[in-house]
Formats: sequence, C-alpha cells, structure tokens
Amino acid sequence: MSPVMSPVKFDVGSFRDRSARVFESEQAIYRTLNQESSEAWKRVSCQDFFQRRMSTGQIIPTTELSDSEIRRFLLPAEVTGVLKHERIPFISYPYEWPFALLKRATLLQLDLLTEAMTHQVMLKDSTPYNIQFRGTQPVFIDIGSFIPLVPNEPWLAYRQFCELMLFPLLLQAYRGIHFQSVLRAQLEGIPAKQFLQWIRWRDLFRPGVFTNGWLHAALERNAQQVSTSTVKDLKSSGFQSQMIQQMLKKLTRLVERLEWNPAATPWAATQWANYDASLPHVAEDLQEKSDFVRNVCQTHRRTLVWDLGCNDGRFSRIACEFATTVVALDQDHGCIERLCKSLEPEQRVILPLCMDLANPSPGQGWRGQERRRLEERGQPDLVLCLGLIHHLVLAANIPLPDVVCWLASLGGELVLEFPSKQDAMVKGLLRNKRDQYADYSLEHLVQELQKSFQVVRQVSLPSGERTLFHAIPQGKSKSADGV
Amino acid sequence: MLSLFAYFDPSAGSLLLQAFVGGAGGIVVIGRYLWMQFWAKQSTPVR
Repeated sequence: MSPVMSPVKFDVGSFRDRSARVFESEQAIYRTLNQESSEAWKRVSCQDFFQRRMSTGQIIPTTELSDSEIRRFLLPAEVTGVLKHERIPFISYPYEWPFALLKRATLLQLDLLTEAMTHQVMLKDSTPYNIQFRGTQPVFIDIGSFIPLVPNEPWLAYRQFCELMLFPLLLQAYRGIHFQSVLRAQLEGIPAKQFLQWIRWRDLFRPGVFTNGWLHAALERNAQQVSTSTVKDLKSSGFQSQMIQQMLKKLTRLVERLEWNPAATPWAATQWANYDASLPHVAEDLQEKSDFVRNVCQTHRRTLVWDLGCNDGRFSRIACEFATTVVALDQDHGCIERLCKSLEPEQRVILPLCMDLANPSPGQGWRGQERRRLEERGQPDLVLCLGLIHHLVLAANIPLPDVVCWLASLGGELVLEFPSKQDAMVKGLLRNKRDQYADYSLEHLVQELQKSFQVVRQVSLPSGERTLFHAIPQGKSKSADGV
Repeated sequence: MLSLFAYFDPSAGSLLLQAFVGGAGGIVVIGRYLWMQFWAKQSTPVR
C-alpha cells in the first residue's frame, strides 16, 4: 500500500477523548493511541477475557499496526500507536434504538465492566455511543475505554451510565416514555433532576428509582458546596473497589428485569400493532407482495438493504436471506420492539431502528457532524418502500415529487408500493382533511419515477387499488440490462 | 495514584452514592468522609 501523505483527518465526532481518536482511510477504521492509551492497550489486550470477548464478537475485532504500517500515515507527534478495527456495517445511535436494543447494550456494558474489574481493568466511560450493533447483537467498539483499574477509586462513569443508559430504560419501562426523542435532543443524556420530574410518587418505590434517581439527585445537590476532590477524599476514607462490584451486581439484576410491553397500556398502544387484522387489503395482497420482493431480492446478493416503514418486518426477513445487512426502519416503537424480540437472538443481519422518515435523524452534535444524519451512513443497494409513500404524502404533507427525489438520492434500487386514492387506508387518511394532493396519482408517480429511475416492472396487486414498482436508478439500469 | 483518565465530570454526588450503597463498609466510608469535610470547614478561616 502506498503511504497516505496528507495529515489524517480525524472523525469529527471523535474528539471527547483525546487519548484515542478515530480516523478513516481507504475504507478502513483506525484509532490512534498516545503514550497513556498505548500502555493501557498493551496491558489489556493480552488478557484472556479481552481476547475471548473479541473472538465472540462482543468486543470489536482489533489489530495493532506495525511501525512500518503506521509510517504510512501522517500523524500528530503525540501518537505512539495505531489500531485497526473491523468495520461495523451500519452505524446507529441510541436515540434510534428500540428499548430492547438499549437494554442489550446496557447489559453488555455492565457485563464487560464486571469481568474487566476482576482482571484489574476498568472502563473509563459508560456511554451507549461506545456500542454498535450487528443485527441485534451489541458490539463494544471503544477500545480506548479500557484502562488499568486504579485501586479503591470510585466508578467515575456511574453518572454517565445513569444519564445515558439507566434513566432512559427506567423511563420507558415504568412510564412508557419513549426515550429516543429525549436522547436525540440531549446527547449527554437525562440528568437525575430531570428524570425525577417524570417520575410519579408511586414510582419512587419501584426498583432502581429511589437509589439511582432520588438519592443521586439529592447527593448531587448537597455535594455542590464541596471544594475538595471527592475522588481523593473517598479514597482516603477507605473506599474499596468491591463496592463498585456490589453496585454492578445490583444494576445488572435491575436492568435484566426491566421490560417494556407496548400493549400494556391501552391508550398507549401503537397504531400498527395489529396491521394484519386492521385492513382488508393486507391479507389479500400479502402473497403477491412477498413474491415480488423475493423475486427482486434474489437476483443478486446485496450488501445493504433499507426497509422503510418495515412494520412487523416480514419483508425485512425476506430481504435478509439475500443481504449482508438489512436496516428495518419504522416510526412505530411498538412494531420495532416486537420485531426486535421476535428475531433469533444470534442473528446479525436485521437491525430494527425507530425512525420517523418524515423527520429522519439529522446531523447532530458539534457542527452538526458529531453524529451523522441517516443518509450519510451508507448507500443502500436496495430500498423497500412498502406501505409508506401515502403516509409521507398525505399524512406528513410532503409533495410526491420530493419523496421520489429523496428515494432517488439514496442511490439504490427501489421497490415501491403505491395505494391509489380509492384504497381503504388512503380514504382513511383523507377522511377528515381537504384533498389538496392533486399530485398524488399513479400517473404522476410514474412520471416522477422516470426522471431518476428506469421502471423495470410494474404490477397491480389483487386488491385492485395498490401497485408495486421495481425501479433501478438511471445509470445503473444499463448494467442491469446486460445481466 | 489518582486516575487521570476521566474526560468528563463524574459529579461528586454520584461518587458519594457508590459508598452509600456499598453496605456496612460504605457507611463507614461515608462517616469518615463527612468527618473530613467537617474538619476541612472548621479549619477554613472565616473573613
């Protein structure tokens, strides 16, 4: 490989911890180490538990570059080592995860920390941004977080753990509050004071709330007057590492027992819970739709498929037989939660995420680049847009040409379902609204599709009011013709 | 040795809480800590 002669450009989001920063070069992911983090890496990487966790995929597989490999890059003077990480197929963020995935990420964090401490190793932070997913399997990616344990020092990342992991889970489990919108607005998490504002008096007696919530907030308030270092004072007072381990055991038991049942509260039950029974067209069209999707998917293997408005994930399951990664997106939290729980525990293909496609995840954080917007996280080879377009146009009021333009900008092949205005669902959407949607018609759709796509196949479904399209982006269509 | 690895404020309250939930040993730690704070206040001159 030829040397990379310009200074490496660090990932804009990798700045909080200066000792280990991430950069990308030639499609590979690297992490720089300074003097302290290099020593920590040498101490930690040779440990059996670390190697075992890497081999099972719970820690991202990582190799250390040799000196000659490091010299290919133009790095700052303080860099003394470089690690190379295996690439995660699709980056997602905690404010997109359903309850089940945040719970799995939290349990992995606690499990890793518990085992690490028995080997005199600590995790310096406890943020869900250190974890990614392959399918529904959590993977710990922040190797720089592993440091030597300082004996008898309190767990410095406990507050971060509560604000970013525990409080969101407690809020959804006990109050049914979707944490995703809160975490999207507050990248640093939910402080204890704010958490308590959402808690009712009777919730104070539920597991985990009084200690981690109320007592936490009370001690924070009272400790604001202290002028000395609490870390030093606690160490001098005889704090022991076993106290952290006791706490980790309790937290693990607590999190394991947390559950969110979308159907538990009738008025909070999500709209699409019983999609099959809700409308007549669904059963009638299902077989034809499934066959159509399967025929498209099996033409060749895809690296990345997006299933927009995935509902119960039935079409994601078809796509996953012919794809490396399927990202299943829906704004209905109940559907995504059920999909998550219904998938085989070890599967690493389908990643269910909560997302309102009329308001997809934007660029966030510092300069709007610390956490990337949806469209910047990978180009899908195939986009499934089934039972969605009428919601975007008629409910979210996005003009039809804009929707098609956005789908074209994704760059992949498209499978699109279009219900006409005579369709029962569309009639329901327009029942109490003025019909201002002159552009919502089959003719307009075909016209808009042909601006950016070549329509390969068009099929009317048995119910009579829905049409399926398979379209290939122009430019790619010539190579498709040659297949 | 004091850890130099934290890049964020761990908050004094969250550190104290860990001693609180640390059982009988934690109560002793809290007691000693409060005693240290008391003497630190006593020995701070009042203007």
